[in-house]
Amino acid sequence: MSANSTSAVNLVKVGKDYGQHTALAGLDLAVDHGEFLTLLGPSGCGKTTTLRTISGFEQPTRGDIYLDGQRINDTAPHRRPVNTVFQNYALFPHMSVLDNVGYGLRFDGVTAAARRQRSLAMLERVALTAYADYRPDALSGGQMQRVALARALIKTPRVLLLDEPLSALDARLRRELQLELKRMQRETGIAFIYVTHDQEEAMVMSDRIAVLEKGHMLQLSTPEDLYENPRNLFTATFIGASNRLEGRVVSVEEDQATMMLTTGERITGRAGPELRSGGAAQAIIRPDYMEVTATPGKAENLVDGQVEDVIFIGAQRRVVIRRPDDSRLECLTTPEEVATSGLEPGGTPAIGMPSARLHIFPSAEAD
Amino acid sequence: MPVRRWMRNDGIKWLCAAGVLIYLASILLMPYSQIAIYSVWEKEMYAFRPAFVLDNYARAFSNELYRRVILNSAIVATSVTLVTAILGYALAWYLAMYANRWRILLLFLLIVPLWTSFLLRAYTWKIILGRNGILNSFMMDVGLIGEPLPHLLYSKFSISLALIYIFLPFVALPVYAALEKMPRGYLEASADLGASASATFRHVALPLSMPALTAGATIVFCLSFGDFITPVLLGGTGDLMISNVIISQFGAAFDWPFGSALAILVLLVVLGLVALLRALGQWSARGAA
Repeated sequence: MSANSTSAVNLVKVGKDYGQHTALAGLDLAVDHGEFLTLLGPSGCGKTTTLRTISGFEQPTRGDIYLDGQRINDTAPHRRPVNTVFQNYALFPHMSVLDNVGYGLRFDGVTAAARRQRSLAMLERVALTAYADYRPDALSGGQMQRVALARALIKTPRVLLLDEPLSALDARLRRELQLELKRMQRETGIAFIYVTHDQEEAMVMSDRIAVLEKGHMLQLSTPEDLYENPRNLFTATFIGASNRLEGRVVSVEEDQATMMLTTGERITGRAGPELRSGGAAQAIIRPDYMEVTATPGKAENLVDGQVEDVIFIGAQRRVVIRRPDDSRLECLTTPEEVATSGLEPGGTPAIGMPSARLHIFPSAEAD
Repeated sequence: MPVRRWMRNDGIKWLCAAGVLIYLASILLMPYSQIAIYSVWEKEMYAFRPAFVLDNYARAFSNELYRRVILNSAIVATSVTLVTAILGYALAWYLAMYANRWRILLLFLLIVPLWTSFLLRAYTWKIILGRNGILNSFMMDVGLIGEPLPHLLYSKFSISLALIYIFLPFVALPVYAALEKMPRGYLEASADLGASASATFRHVALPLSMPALTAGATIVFCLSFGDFITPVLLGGTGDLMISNVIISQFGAAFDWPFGSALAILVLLVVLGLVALLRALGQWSARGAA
């Protein structure tokens, strides 16, 4: 595979070993210009390692890294036109906010006066002009995060790398900064590669998400596609809320599979890859797509269960169903449906699962 | 909270303050003022007479010998401080950045000599540098030199070498502590923003460790300026340091007023140089940032 010249960053079979342990197993990834791409996965999945091979702080054991079509494996970190927003910001404590922001321009041959001017302009963009003369330790977490962003963006890198930059902030501030990051990314047109373990955060900001697990990239797609068409059990359960039903595969026909649940019901759904007749399998469905009603009509894949709880969560109601095997299913439905179907604890409504929304994957034990 | 209240207790506060005050008064203020007072007294045969004269100071300035000895001390102390600062910093950098699993052992080796007597550590160099010492024997054995080098011992060189050896931990340890607690993220962030290794050192690592370096260097400077054992053991007749002269004024010469005047002069010179060192440290920390 040759370097794709249309990509901002192109990783070709990049692998990284730490002694016996493989942190990254031959990753292929092309990041487009102006794209917001998120590397999503639990800790130890290789997402930070991937980021650090691009910044140059880790040397890949195998594979090639291209930036705008140029191989940069042997380029020292400080010579790569790539900048990073670090997880703990790493703002220099002995410099003012202004000097922190202007730091990187020193090495681009920018004069002190121009540096000051551009740093002030950059601070204005992140609404921190008033704090130019402060030391970083006088700032709040959110402000430090914005200084770190300004310090990296002032270099107008070809790619900006962000290593869980919001993980130290509280939920409300995190949501606010997610939107701000997205806005900055759109305005600058710089490709962002964002590392996070928070799937909600990934969904909010990303053009595309790469789902990583144990050094492998499991799926790379848009947030919507990952949500609607997960291609494996990990992606299906890691992204978004999901219900899980266990059983065995009865038959597989092209992209349709039928399985027998441990509780005895037969259900049909979309067949995941490597699904074999007779193998242990799990059916996955989002709470939003469950149908809980007193009037089954044309509901598919009916299963047994009893309403355990109806929970108020704003515009919707969450109905918790207890299955005969004591597992739980969650369903999101409207207050109207709750009222007309008389859903209340102890009730036994019809519980349907549209086969187009039901994904059947081989059980994790299979791998 | 009980602990808070206990800490805010005024009685405790004054008790602690009293400790400090008593210490300062008895260890610093009293002896120094005594010396300052003596320095303006007069010597009359074998007695001192209270007076207010500056004769002692005039004598120190007018006599070539004393000027030279003070200069001598300043040269030794400055060169010892400079070399110790550079070597100590390099050692601390190695310990903090590269030593890894050897770190504990190396730190231990650095600290162990501090447990032995100062005298012993200075004396060791006599064995190493002497005419028939380890260094000369070794160089003759391997055929580097035909006969012993005469100037290794009893020179400013041997004094400085011993002092550098003895005082190295005083710089290396505080600088190591500063570098050790400096997050590696700062160095990565600097490189990430385009700084070469040397630029990162100048702009980030050095300014952040500068307070430790100046603190260590100041201690080394004061201690080596005032040292009197090493010159006696390892110095030649022309390598007297000012402390030796002061001791002889209080001892053999029995001229306490003049000795006191010299002591006060040394104090002023050291304070001046320390102030300079501090200013230099602050300037470089700010200038680099």
